[in-house]
Amino acid sequence: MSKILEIKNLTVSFDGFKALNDLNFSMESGELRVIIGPNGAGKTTFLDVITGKVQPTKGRVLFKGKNIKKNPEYKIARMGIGRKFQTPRVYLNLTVTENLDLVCNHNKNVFSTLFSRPKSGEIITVAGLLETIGLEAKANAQAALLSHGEKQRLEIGMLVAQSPDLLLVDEPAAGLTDEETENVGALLLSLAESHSIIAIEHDMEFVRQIANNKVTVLHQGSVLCEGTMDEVQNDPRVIEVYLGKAPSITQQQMNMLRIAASMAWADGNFEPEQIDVILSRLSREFATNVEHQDSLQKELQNYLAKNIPLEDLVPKLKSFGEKERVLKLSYEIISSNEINDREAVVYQKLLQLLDLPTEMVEQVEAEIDAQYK
Amino acid sequence: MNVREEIIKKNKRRKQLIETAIVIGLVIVFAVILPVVLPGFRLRLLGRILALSIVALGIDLIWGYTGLLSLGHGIFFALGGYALAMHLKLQLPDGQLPEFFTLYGVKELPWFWYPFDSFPVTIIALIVIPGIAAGLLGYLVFRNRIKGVYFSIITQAALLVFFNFFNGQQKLINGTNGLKTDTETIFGILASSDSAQKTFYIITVIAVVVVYYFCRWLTSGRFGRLLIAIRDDETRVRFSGYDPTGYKVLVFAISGAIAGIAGALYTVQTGIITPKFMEVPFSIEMVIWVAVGGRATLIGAIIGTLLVRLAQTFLSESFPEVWLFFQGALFLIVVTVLPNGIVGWWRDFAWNKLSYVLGLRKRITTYASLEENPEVRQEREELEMRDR
Amino acid sequence: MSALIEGLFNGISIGSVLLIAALGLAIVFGLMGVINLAHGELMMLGAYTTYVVQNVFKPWGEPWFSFYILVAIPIAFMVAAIAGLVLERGVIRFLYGRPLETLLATWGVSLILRQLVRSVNWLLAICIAVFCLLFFGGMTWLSRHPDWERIRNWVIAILLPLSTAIAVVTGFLISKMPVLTKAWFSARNVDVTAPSWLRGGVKVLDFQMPYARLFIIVLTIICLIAVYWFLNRSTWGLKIRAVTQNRAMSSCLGIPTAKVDALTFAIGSGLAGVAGCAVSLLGSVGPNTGQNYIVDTFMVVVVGGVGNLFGTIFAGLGIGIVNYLIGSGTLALMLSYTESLKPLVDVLLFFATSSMAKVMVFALIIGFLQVKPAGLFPQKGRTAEL
Repeated sequence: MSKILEIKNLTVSFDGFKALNDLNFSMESGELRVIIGPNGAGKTTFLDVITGKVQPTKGRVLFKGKNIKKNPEYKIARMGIGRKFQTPRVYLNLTVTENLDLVCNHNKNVFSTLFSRPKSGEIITVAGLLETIGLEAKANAQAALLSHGEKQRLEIGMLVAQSPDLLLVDEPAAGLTDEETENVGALLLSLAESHSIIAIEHDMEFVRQIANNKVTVLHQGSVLCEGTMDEVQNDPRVIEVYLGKAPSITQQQMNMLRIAASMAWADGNFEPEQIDVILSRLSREFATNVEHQDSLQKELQNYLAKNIPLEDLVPKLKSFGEKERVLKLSYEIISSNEINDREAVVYQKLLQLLDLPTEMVEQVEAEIDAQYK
Repeated sequence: MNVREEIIKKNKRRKQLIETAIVIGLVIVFAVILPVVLPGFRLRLLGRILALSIVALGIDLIWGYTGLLSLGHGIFFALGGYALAMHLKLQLPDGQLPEFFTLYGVKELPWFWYPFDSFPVTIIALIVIPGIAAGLLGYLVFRNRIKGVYFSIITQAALLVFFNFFNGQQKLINGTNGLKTDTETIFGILASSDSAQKTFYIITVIAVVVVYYFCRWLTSGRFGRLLIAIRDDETRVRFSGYDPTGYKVLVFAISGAIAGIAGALYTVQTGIITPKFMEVPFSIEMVIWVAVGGRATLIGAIIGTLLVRLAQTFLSESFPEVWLFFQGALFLIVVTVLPNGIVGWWRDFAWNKLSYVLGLRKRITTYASLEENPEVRQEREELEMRDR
Repeated sequence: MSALIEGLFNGISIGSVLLIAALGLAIVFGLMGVINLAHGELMMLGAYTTYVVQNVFKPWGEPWFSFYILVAIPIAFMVAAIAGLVLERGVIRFLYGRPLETLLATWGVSLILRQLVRSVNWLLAICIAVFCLLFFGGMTWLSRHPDWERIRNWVIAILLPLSTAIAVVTGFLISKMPVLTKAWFSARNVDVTAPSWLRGGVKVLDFQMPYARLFIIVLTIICLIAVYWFLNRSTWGLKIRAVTQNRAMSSCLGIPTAKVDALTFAIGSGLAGVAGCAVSLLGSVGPNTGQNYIVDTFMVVVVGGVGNLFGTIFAGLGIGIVNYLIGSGTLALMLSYTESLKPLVDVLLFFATSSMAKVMVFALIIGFLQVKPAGLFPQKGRTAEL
């Protein structure tokens, strides 16, 4: 697979304020990439640069291997980059069909637009698109009369009519109801089969729905991290950016907690009260005082929501002491109630990965068993 | 679906037929009946007003459809006028110069006068020169994405500049005094004679119809829709792969060329062209004709010009002082109370009211957008069926 | 050398007038995106106010008459500001977001003002007063009615023709008195005589610097400082700057944007009045006085860009100086000593009249816009497009 978009050392500054700061980004052809980031992270400026609306101060943007710097917007659009705006922007005084027909026009020169009549292929495309976006009944209605969701769909339809290779979608779910959001998500997923898409989004539910591959997090104009949804969500830097503060315990401690938590998560479903019990047990382990224990418990609810495979976590443990502590915690959690099959399997896997001497494991288990009986 | 489309097509054809009939009727009234009925000077006046309605069509194209308010159409209007007037001035025996040159001691005809000796060249020039002037000015402005109010005041400044230029160049173009056409001949006939004036009038009527249909053709297809798209959301147009600059330049050039035609016809029916045609108030007045008639409706541009100009003739004949007050009030009222002009008001409001009163249509009980919604309509039909 | 200094001085003094006028226009344009085509007529009002104040002071004799100009300036400011306030509240307020229509509406106002100055007499003033009293008085009185929103259109439909008719009838009834029908100013130009201390000038090198022009330059500097202080140091200035940057946000934060608009418009108009006062010192004053300056003033705004005072200052002085240097032929004269520049000198000589200089300056401005389309100090960032 070839790279459809590559961005190198991109900087955009407005009067000294760097909206984008030394940003590097690349994307395979056919990928659906979601970009998230807090307000002011530079997401929209990022799209502005790709579409030529803003010229970069430094750096290069390569689309299909070609540098697009200095090209005006319309040329970039003709190269095959389509953009959907945050608020739907359709031509309000034209009908739905006319909206689609304008974009569908293959030759966008002044004189061919003036003299040539719509080709039969284009008419068929427009008819097909009307069906896809579900606006057949309103084909001859003025776009001004459409509802917000319908306009949103019409704009996506116009984007497709442009037959671009790369679609840039800016907050497609903004201002939509849950049902509409899901529809738009499904539409994007189906489009992703034939197009490369960059979607910018705030709504995490929606991101989870559409992010089947990689997610990029922007912060203060540069890429903070990149990875699958799970990786990104558990990255402490991302959490810090989004929640405004770093976890109050060290990374090592967090790692231990994650392993212990994955024991608890092993059987898949449990009661909310049980979560509370486990979280309070875990937070007691690392808290420095009572107040910290409370706040930590709340923090953990956010951090431990996701299941990361043990294979990734265990190798990060450094010392023998840490491993022992993990073992203690884990065993304590699973023995807090009846040990079921699935928990046993996960526990066995953990033991294997920890690779501790057998007598030590037995000793720890015995100690905890004694405590609980 | 097919049945519906056929009905739409049928309706369309019927509408077109009615329209053609109306146009033919109007042409007969204006070109055959009025010249017989009206006395010569009134006919000349009407001819002038019709010539002005041609500029209004041009302004409607650039303002009503594309959303660019030009306050400098006087330039192109006057350029067309000067082109024809120069041709008339050159209808002299060989070796003679137009008499005003001798006043300033000019012995040699300035170089740019030569092409206007030939009639076909003049006809082409009075369309092409204003077109090129408009296109050039438009290109220099639009390519930098200058739009909105900036565009308007730049065109106004350009107008003032052209006025100053023509006003100051006695030796080239007779400066303030302008070029008088009434005393000159065209094809051997005195331009102010009744027969010549009647011909000018008939040509003006034909020109109005031709320009009207030309504008109709421009605005009906994809090109016209793109103009509206540029007016409504230029950024979106750019991101759809169109370069708005080219379109805007072309429309502005066409609009300028139309103004040139109008200027030429106006000049010969006025009898003189002076730099006064390029004064600031006259060009802004052109805009108000379109505004009164209704923006983005071509017929509105013609109706507006006729109404305002006729009102002006009668008012300024009897109360010259009141006219400026009236004109000022017209600007205020049209902009605040009638933003879509007379035609817009008729289309959006009066026609609906009238058709209820006449019982042609059912009264809308909810919102118009809801009534027009096919889904709602279908649902309502189903409900009515069930009730029965 | 002295020719250059003289050119610069005259250019600056022309630029100063442009600058005061453009200052008001630029602030209003930055805030509301509205260009006021009646700005020139507000200048004219200022000039006529100066004329009236002068006539009031005339009978009082010498020591008083010398200072009439100092009284005229604040009064001109107030008159133009009130006219601007009425214009904003009465017309422009209803047209926000439609800048092109605002342009046309203000042109209508400009026509009315010009004709008003020509034909205003006691008769007309009384008629207008009667109409305003009846119409607006009636509107205010009836607006206390509980059903106001519903009957509003009907009230206007009845009140408007009624008060017009009464006003016209009143006019006819009293039109027999010749005192009432004598025009105040008539269409002819009127002259403002500068006080004695502004006549004459100071000799620098070998040319005369007229005191009147020096006075205008000083006046401009004072206006600039006052505007700068007002925008950057006062609470209302802060509010104006906030609304200029982001209208919606300011409104959410409780800044009364309607009041800010009205205030800004009044101040901008008041500056036009001061400019009119300055203009009256340079020549005779007529109904079309404003029109002579207005297009140049617009060009200052175009070149200066929005939202930066310095852009307006540079543009105003720049256009003034270039205009004078080309128009007076100073530039052509200076370059004529260099033989190699002969063709350039010929071109400059062609443009060396005050009206042809405008042609050249316009060409230069169009050229300048090719390089900097948004003016000297363009706004940057994501909001710039909006």
